[in-house]
Amino acid sequence: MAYGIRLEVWGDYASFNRPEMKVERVTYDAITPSAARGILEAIYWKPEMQWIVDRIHVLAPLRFTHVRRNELGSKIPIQGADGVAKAAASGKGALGICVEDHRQQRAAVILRDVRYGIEAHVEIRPAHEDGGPPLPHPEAKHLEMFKRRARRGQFFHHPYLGCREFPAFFRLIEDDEEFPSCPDGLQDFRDLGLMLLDVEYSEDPKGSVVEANRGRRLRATPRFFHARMNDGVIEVPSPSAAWGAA
Amino acid sequence: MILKSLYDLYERLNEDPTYDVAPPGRSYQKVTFVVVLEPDGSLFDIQDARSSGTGGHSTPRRVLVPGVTKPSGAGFNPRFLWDSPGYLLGWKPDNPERGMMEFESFRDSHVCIEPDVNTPEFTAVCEFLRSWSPDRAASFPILQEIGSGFGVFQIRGRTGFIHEHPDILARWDAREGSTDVAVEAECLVTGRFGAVARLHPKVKGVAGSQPAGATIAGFNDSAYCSYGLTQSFNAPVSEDAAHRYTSALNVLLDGPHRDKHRRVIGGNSVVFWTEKPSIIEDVFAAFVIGDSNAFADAASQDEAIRAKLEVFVTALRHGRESYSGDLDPTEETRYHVVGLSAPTPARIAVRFAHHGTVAELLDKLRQHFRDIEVQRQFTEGSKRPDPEMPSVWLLVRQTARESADIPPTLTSSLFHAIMSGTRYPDGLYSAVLRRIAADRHVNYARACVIKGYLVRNLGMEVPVALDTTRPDPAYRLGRLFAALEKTQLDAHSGDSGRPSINRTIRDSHYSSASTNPATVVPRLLRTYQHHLGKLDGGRKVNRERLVQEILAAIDVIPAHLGLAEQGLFALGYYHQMNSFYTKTADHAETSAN
Repeated sequence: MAYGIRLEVWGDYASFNRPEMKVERVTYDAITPSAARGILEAIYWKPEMQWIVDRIHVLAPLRFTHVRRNELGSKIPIQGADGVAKAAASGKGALGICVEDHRQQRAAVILRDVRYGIEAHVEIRPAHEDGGPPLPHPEAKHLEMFKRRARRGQFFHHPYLGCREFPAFFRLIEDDEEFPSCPDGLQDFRDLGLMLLDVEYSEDPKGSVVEANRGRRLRATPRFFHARMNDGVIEVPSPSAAWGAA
Repeated sequence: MILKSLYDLYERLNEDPTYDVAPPGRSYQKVTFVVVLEPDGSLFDIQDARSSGTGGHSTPRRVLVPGVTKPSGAGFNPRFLWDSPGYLLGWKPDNPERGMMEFESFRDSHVCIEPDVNTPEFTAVCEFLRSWSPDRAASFPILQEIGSGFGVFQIRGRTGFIHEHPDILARWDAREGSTDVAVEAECLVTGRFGAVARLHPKVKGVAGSQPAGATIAGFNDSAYCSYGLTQSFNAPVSEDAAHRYTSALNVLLDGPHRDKHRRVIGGNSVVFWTEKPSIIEDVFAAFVIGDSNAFADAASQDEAIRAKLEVFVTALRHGRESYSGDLDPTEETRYHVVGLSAPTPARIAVRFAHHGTVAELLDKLRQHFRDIEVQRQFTEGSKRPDPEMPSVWLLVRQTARESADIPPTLTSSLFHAIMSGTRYPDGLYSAVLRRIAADRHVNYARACVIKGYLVRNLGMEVPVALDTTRPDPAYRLGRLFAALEKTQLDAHSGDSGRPSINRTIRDSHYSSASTNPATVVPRLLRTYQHHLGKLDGGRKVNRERLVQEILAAIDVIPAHLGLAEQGLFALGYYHQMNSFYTKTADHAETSAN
């Protein structure tokens, strides 16, 4: 990759939850491209750019563990008589959730002692959304800013491995360095099945996701790709290739 | 991966007629009563549909019916020509008003499509429903007994149930166009774009789940939903894929061959299958996972199973060369084992999932059995011989007094350790040591656990049978303790040869001897002298020689033994006791000493 960065991340625990087993959580075997993008965005991101993950290296053997945690079963609603909207409009209301009434215990199968290498590059969004003149292409500027911040350990919020409770530690791999070698047991080909690529947002007047800065209604659609691991390396298709239009 | 492998399994199960896989849109339900009608619609009788099973209680009949399991909820959801007694007849003794409303919804849903279906049998059913009133149900005693089963309709004198009539089925299939607006998305099992299931069919038979069934991809609370999606739209799976994977799982858990595929152990339902039928599949559940029922009984009754077990055990004993060709069409057949449990009644959690080739599985099993191998206490010929390769159940059972107290996570951790060749769970070892201290009994299975832990987790070299040359003090102290106890038993035997005391030093002093030997062993050696005096001639000399030989290598009796040493103590005790009670070993001992 002419313009790209390589980052090594590691942590004690990680959980990249499968959508079908999201309640009683079971993790994917390796980091999903969307989680990798989340780590990069935590370190550096600007609205005009988008991180595209190219390749994922799995640098530690797969180890799993099992936890059970007490969590909540409900959310504070937005609409409705007890909702945030009504309370904000009227200026009063009780919005708290009493844990004892809504406690749910959820089991989770999570990864432990993980180490990944992320290769990614930056793409600048095609044009200003308001239809202004095309921007110059400052990928190099963004990449340099990222590298500087990664070297110094700076981030907007602490990067995490799938869930916020599993912090990720990171180290930039400089141009003259290589990733650590493939660990034992991960050599040869391994089929990891369909894995979540990312969530695609498309405009939809009836969509239930509301864009934060402009209030547009969007629909969130998960996209999947066939993850094949060769000697610990997963090639990630670019999102535009995985989902035909836009 | 799990859903995908179940999806692939459906293909194989569907082609095998012995598996009773329900086609899409149908399901197998437990039917307990039949409403028998005259051709004109008047009621003839309500009959018991159960078959008398083993042990005197009757089991419901599995019948293929149109429609899937009733969804839960407070609304009315009548089924087509089958339902529970409340819907079918209005019979709901604990809530008669609800029963009345259920019956009305059932009746209305059938009567309103009568002109469409237009078949004499269906007209008979509608006639019956129009003329029936729920209070007549009380006069049928069969309804009191049936419990929670479902009922179906039948015309007197004709075989088959009304819902099996091909015209009626065809009409029903035609009407079953989906009334929901189809949401289209990429299926996460197949990768294909298509209509996505809003609710996945329920899976029945997971330990701890509710009888109506639970779901894997169930989002039954608002906190679990994201992106504004509801229910199973949070995990897009196409209707077809949802039907396939849940049918496959249901058949594994509750179908005709469930004894082969499913075992409940430590609160988890463990399902096992191979992608092609194989010998491993037939014996894995019973042999490796094990059960509270002795596997030996099942094996002795079925010649075929016994033959397969022979092949399997030979493969485990002797390695790959002995089985390629016999065991499988190919070593590369893939196996899958999934542990499921239901921490809440309506949701299924996956505890562990392993897959790989059969060759890898055998390697891992062989490694496991080699690590835990210990000389058996009761060999063939005794009333209940110890298994040469103890099952997971047998090992895990040693951790608690009652099987209900076995920690559920321990089973899955042990399973995981066996399947992936990693270290055994520490909890297993400490639980077994705790049980030994509590009931002061070191049996074969406990010795296996201890040896396995010491070999695999701590990397020690531990003997399978008695090793008289091993110098380490903990092992020697265990052997010494066994010798002292045996002397005490022999001293109190008298002429009959049977010991006349109820409590030996093991009952009083095992715990302290294995944890703080320096406090207890000198005292025991003193009383040992008295016991020794009561033995006669040759036995006395040999016993004393043995004790001296054991003590020779112990310089100082340690003040405290850590966990690993306590395990060695237990093993030393076990080995020495075995050698006392084995006849040939006894002779060898006397001749050597």
